[in-house]
Amino acid sequence: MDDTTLIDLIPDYVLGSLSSDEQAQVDALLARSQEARDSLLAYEQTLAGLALLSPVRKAPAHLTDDFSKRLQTMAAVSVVKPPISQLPRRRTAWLLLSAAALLILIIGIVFAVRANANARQQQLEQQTIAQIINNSAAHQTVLRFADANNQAHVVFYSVQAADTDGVLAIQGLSALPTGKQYQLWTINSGNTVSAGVFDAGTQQVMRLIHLQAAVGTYKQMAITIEPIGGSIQPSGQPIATGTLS
Amino acid sequence: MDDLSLIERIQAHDQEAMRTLHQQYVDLVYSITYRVLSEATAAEEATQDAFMKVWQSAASFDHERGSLIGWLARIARNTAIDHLRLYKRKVGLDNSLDAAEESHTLPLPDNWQDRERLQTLRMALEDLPHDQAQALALSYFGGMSQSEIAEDMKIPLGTVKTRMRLGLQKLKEAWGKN
Repeated sequence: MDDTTLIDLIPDYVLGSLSSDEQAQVDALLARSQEARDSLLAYEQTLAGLALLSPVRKAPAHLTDDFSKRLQTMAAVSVVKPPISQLPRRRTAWLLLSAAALLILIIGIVFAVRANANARQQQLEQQTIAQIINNSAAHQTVLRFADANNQAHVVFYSVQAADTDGVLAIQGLSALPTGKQYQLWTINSGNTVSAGVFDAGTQQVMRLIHLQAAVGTYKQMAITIEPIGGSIQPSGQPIATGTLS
Repeated sequence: MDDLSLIERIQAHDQEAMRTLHQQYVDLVYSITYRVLSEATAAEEATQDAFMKVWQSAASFDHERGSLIGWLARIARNTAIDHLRLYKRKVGLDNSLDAAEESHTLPLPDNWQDRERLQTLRMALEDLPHDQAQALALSYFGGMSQSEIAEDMKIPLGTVKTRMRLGLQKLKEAWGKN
C-alpha cells in the first residue's frame, strides 16, 4: 500500500482494528514518516481528551498513603557486602613484594589475552550484525507494545528461516528498576523459549541474538520483564509481542 | 511545581515527586479508571497500577508529544482496560460517550495548555451521531474489539469500523481546531 493509503489507516491503527500485516505496514510508515507520526499523535491526544471528559470521582483517601508504602517497598533493596578478608601476615617484606609483583604480572597477562579474545569476538559479532541488517532480503518483525504509551521501538531482523541468528534493534526502552532485566522469548505452538536478556538504551542498540532453533520454527516473539539474569519461563504478561514472518 | 519539573524529578527517581504527582492527580486517574471499570475496588487497583506504570516508565514521557495530563489519562485508560480484560468484565451496551456536565468534570489546572481544546472536544462529542459515539465508547471505554461490538449490536463488522473511524476523525478535527 502507498503512504497515502497507509496514513488513512491510522485511525484504525489507533483503534486496534488492523490485521497484523496492516499493523506492520503502518509501523514501518511511522518509522519513516513525520506526517504519519504527527497524525498518530493527534489521534492519541484526541482519545486522551475523551478520557479527560470522564465524570469526576473522588478517590478514596487511603490511596496516596498506600501508594507511598508500595513505592518504599519497591525501592527497598538491601545489599549485604561480604566482609573484607584479612590478609595473612608475612614475616619477610621482600617475599611479600615479590609474590605481589608476580601475581600482578600473571593477572595482567590473563587480562590481556582475554581482552584480545573479547575484542575479536565483538568484531565478529558486529560484522554478523551488519550482514544481517544490511541484507536486502532481511525480514523485519516489529514488536508492538501492549502499553500504547510506550514510545520504544524494537525490531527483530532475520534473513533465512534456517538461520539461528538474528538482530534485535532496540531504541528508547525505559530503564528498569534495580534487579530487573528485559527478556526476549520465541514462541511456537505453546512452547516458549528464552532468546536472552538485555538492558534498555536510549540510543539505538543492535544485539546479536542466538536462537535455540531455526528462526523459521518459531511463530512469535515476546518481551517480558524478569529478575536480573532472566527466568526459565515468563513470569508475567509480555510487554511487547511480534509475529515472525 | 509545574508538571514538567515534576516529571523531570520523577525521571530522576525522586520518590517525593512521585508522591506529589499521586496526590495531585489521583482523582483524575481514579475517575478515568472508574469510568472504564464501574466498580470501586477494581478502579482503586487500576489507579495504583497506573501510577506504578508512571513511576516505571517516566523516562518515556516526552513533553513534545503532549501534556503530562494527557499522558496520565492514556495510562489510566489503558491500565483500566487491561484490568477489564484480565477479569473478563463485560460492559453494557448503554455505555455511552456522554460527556460529564462541565460543573462535574475533572479538576484540571487553570493554566493547562489544552483546556480550550477539551471544551471544543466536548462540543464535538455532543454533536456526534449516537451510533458513532456508542461504537467508540464500547471500544475505548469498554475495551471491546470491533468484532465483539458488531456481534453485540448485531450489525456488520464493516459498519462498526466505519462508524468508529468517522467518529474518531470528527473528534480529532475538533481537537486540532485550537
